[in-house]
Amino acid sequence: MSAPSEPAITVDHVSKRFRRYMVKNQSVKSALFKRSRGTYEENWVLDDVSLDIPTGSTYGLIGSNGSGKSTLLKCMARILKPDKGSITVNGRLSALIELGAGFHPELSGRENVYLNGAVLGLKRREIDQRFDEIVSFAGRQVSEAIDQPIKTYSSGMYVRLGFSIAVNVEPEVLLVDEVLAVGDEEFQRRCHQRFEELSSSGRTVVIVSHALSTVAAMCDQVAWLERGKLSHVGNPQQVVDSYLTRLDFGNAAGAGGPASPARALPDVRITDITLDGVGRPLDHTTTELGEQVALVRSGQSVRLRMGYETDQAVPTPVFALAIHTLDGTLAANPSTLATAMPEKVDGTGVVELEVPSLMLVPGAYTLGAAILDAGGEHAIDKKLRLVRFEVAGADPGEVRGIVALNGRWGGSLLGGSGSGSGSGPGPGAGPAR
Amino acid sequence: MATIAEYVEARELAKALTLREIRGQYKGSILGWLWSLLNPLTTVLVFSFLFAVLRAPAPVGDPSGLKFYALYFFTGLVPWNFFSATVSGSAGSLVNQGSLISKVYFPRAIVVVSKLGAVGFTSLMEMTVAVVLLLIAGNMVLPWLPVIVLLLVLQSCLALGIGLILSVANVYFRDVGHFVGILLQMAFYSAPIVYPIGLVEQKLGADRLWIYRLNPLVDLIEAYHHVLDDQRWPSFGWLAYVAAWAVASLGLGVLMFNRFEPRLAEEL
Repeated sequence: MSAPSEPAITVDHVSKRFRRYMVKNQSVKSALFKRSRGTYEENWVLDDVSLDIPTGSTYGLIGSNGSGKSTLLKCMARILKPDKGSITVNGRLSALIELGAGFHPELSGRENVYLNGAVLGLKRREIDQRFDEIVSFAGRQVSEAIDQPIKTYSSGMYVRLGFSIAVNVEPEVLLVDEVLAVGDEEFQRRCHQRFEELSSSGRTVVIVSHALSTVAAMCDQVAWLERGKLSHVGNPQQVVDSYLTRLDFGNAAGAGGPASPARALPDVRITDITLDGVGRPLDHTTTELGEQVALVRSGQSVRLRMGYETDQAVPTPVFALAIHTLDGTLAANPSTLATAMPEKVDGTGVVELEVPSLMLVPGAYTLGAAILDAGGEHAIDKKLRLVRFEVAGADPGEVRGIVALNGRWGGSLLGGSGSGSGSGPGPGAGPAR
Repeated sequence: MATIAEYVEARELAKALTLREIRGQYKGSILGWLWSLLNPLTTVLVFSFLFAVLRAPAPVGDPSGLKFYALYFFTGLVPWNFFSATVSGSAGSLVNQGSLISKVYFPRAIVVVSKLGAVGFTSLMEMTVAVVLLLIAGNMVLPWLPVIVLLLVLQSCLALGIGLILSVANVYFRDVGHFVGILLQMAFYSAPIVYPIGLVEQKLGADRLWIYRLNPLVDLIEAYHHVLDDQRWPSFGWLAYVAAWAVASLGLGVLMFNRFEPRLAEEL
């Protein structure tokens, strides 16, 4: 990297207000008679946000829905104008807020490449130079149909072409909103590669995303927005972790609220969720944020327990537990749906699940629980990601994925039960597909 | 507010959006852009028939001596269509391009300008047909073409200014689009397109004709008739009056557009 220069983007005390119309008068008549354009309430979507995005960095913006991260991105892209404060951008900027912006369904793929390129700020000559690369990046399916009207494209082809144009714009500053999760895995892999190429060639990339593991892995810095305010800025893993911790508390506090309020469901509440070792107590470890959390050895025997209380007798609820990885992937979700349960549940009590061997790869996980109605369709109470715990590995050769098989290696090389020929049915030696 | 430099920067986009409009319009139809010619020609046919039934005398070109109602009508209809399609198309343009505006930044007036461009393209083709027909009828209009270009530019400014104002107004009040349709229908009969200006002069009297001519569309259309049908110079005094309207309209349009431009993305 060159010497610290001017930041690529300077966000200086930016505030943005949205009007939410209760009644919106979009006809002249109502505006004349009521002397207003409708009643609305104002809320500040961004509230005094300041940050510097260093040139050449990959920068992540995270936050829950409605936190203002997309609004901030749109302000950076100049689509929206801040009500207070200012944003300075150094260098040519391109924003990927929607793929294929301006695509015309009746026009051919070729014509749309030129159109979308112009929308993204490319000159015709520049598109000429990149045309072949754009089309080949979009894949064989698209390149074969490049002269067909774009309305005949599958949604996958449409998105691939849009993305392909966007990443070939090669701006100095690229803003990306949530579009990483497109296409099949092969295409996603190429997208990531492309982003890495961009950032390693000194471009600044700003990403708004919910895919926290991606953000943590790709970004040099992450800013976390909460209700329009800047909450944390800094090291990606730390910010993502503290964000997830907050998310858990947020869920715990608001539990019961979002669980289908309109339905008159019987009232059962989760009182607590715990995790214990069977036979011997669990160790503890300290997270980056200084929290004490349980440490489980991969393959250790554990007992998961949830407490409940009811106001009146409830007919056969279903109890469920959920283990999530930190990026939100559901790792396990056992329930009592198929287990014989008493006809009704009343008062307070405890439900336990004994797990003979917790087969998770090393990493951080969260434990949550839910109580569902008799059919298991509607949640009565739900507390996801309430307890955080870590898993330490038994086998350093098994650290990726979610499940730890904890198996034993054998075969001829290891003096195990192999046939001795060296080409036994070991891993990877099956017939070619 | 977008700067002039940004508009210069965005000229490629203006071109691309204009082409999108032109190409997209008749994609998938067999006759393609021929439709854009069949439409005015049908109107001419209908009105010629009506004129013949009413036994109204066709206006006589002075000094050209051209006496052909359908041609007279057509030379007025082409610039009228240009004006009317630009104004009504611009009015809905920002709303129609809402998804683009809320997703990408570019100087917003490009949308209105490209509408003008696309309509202008169709009008140029219609004008070419008009010129060919006039040549066949014996009017040597080719030396007058520079004047026609000048008139088209003048008219573009007038229509663009009005279009800029209406496009923004339509974002805030969606009735504007419908209202414009009605106004344009009235405006069509307010100018000497279907009838010659002489008819109004007869009714109103020569000394009170100026009241009729306060409508800038009257002398704009009349200028086309003078140049193409009569083959003489239009009234420069009244043309200056039209030009003043064009400048005022464009000035007001730019002013108003710039004022509301920053909030367009959230209002759409």
